[in-house]
Amino acid sequence: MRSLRTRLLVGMIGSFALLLVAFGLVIDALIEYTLVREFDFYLETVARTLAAAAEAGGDQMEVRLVPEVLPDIQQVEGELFSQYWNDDGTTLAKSRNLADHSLPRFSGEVRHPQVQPLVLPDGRGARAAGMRFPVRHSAPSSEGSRPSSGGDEYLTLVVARDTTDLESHVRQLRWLLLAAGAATMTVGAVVSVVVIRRSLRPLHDVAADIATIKEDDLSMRIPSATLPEEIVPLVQRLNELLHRLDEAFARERSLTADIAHELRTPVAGILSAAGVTLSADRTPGDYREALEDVRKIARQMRSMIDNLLTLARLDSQEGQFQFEPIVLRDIVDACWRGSREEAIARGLTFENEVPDDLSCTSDRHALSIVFVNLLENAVQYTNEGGRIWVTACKTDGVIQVEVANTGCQLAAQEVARVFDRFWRADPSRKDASLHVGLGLALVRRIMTALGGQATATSEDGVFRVSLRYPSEPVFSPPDGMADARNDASCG
Amino acid sequence: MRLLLVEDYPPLQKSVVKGLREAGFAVDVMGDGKEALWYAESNQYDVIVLDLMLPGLDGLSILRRLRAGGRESHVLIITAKDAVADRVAGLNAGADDYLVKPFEFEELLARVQALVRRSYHRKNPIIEIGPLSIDTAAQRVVRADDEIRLTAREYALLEYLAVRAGEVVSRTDIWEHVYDFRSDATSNVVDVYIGHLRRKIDREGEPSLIEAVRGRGYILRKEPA
Repeated sequence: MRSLRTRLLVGMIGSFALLLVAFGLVIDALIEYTLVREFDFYLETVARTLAAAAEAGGDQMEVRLVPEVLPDIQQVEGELFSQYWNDDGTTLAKSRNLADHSLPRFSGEVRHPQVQPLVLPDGRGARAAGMRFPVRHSAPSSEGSRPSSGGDEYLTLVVARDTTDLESHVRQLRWLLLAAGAATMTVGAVVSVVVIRRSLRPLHDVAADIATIKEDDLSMRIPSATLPEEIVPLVQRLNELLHRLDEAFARERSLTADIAHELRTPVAGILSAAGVTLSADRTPGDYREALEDVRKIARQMRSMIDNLLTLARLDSQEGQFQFEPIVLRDIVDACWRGSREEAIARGLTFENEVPDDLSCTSDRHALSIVFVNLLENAVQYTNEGGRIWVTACKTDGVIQVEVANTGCQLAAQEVARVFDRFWRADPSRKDASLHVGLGLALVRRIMTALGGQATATSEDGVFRVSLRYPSEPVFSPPDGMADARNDASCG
Repeated sequence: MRLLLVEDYPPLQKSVVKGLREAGFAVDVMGDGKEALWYAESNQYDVIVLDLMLPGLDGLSILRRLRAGGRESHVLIITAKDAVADRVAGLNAGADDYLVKPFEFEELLARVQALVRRSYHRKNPIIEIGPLSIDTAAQRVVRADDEIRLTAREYALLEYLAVRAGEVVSRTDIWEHVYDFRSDATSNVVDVYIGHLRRKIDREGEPSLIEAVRGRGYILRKEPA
């Protein structure tokens, strides 16, 4: 039963039907009880009347019915039977309609005659009242002598009355009850269907609203002002989800646009270098120079694509780290090689102050990307003739590395943004060179994935990136990380 | 023709400068926005090729300041921004043309040459002066069906005199507008090249096409005197 409507309908109609049946059974029992009681009451009345009217005389007896009581008896429907017995069990008299048959003999007191059902000789059902009563003796014809009333002579009387009429009454009432029940049931079911459909209509309306949301425009929200309060939380959560999705897609779109922009300038460089070179006959030296230029641009693009792919893999949790022991000083030296030439050209000094014996267990490739990006970034932004230095230490299982350079002109509020993707120190520099914008975002992303963090500061013209990550692999940040957030610099 | 290229991505800068110089332009190059504005304000450029996102000062600000200062140089914007709104903003800031990166160098050159023609109120890329026919697009000079081979400097000098044909052009103007004469330290470099040019385009027994006007400069006559 996955449909809410079916469930409500079955629940409502089912319980309604059960109630109705129970109610019907009670009513039925009450009707039958009342009718039988009334029936029995008449039976007892008849019995008492007959008993009161009986006079015995030897083995003869006489029933003298006073006219006043006749209507009581005559009103009774159905055929009446009666039989009188002496105490010794001999039948004294019986009604003619019994013919050769006898009624069963049983008795109660005059005040409480015993009533029980029985089956008449002809197969009809009946109920009978039996009682034992003291009988008056019929006086001899003479008026003067007083009959010895209250003598010891008792008779037993059983009065039976067939229940055909009673049963047909009960049956009729039962049918009536059934018909009324069925009608109530039908009306109830129809009302339930209508009410449930009405109540669930807002759900359909919301569904229709949701159906109009296009995947390329998530700015729409479902109005919840007119909805029933049970649905409002659902719709609100949905709207919140839409909002989050909208933001995520917007980020994705701007990222795609940024990537397109970042790639356009180097492609323009390649097209232009090739176009100019091919526009005239050149010496082999010219061709070589042009090819060198194209290769340089292509390498920059490759580095940018690598960074993007690494970021995408880290974002989609595909990145699998391979942990191995790493001597930190060596990896910093290795990563510096790529930037050395440009640093020398710009007259920069580089100092690797990482202690020889400092090692950690980490992913070599990931750490290489981190240091290559940090050092390339430093070379790009250090002032001519400036200085770049790297320090590191290990405290309580946490490696702390600082990469610093002189010549920083970043304001404090700008420093917070250096880890944003495609952010540049100078907003108009977007087209300038390729490395900035992604490098630091990647550094922070890798540090997070390694269970560490990357922070940046700018103070007195020195730009400093601090990395803190566990020296042994962990998959959740160690307790110390949160507490030791404020940089305690290496001694 | 004197041209200012403002572009801060070195590999692109390098090849574009090379191509434009080979096409006979006197090219100045700037990678920084503030320096570019200073250069543009203190020189008479025929065309300025302007990138938008620059360190120091962005391209649109440079353009607005130049126009506000009354500079009439033709400006071609080159940028990675390709949205219609960006193009409209660029043209509304006073640019004459807009080229989206990445572009083919040929197209950049053709657009720059078109802007040069506009600078001198011409539509036809071929200039006919007396017996001379100068195809400014192909950079070919023909005199009475004979092609005359000129060096880049000589061609640039002839083209500049040709676009201003009929008026006296001062040595300073020539020095300013023609292919990096400014890099040549010799004071009489203009006269030397006028001499080279005359030897190539003049015919024996006919009057020289280029006349010297004492104390004022040179003139290329529209019709032979």
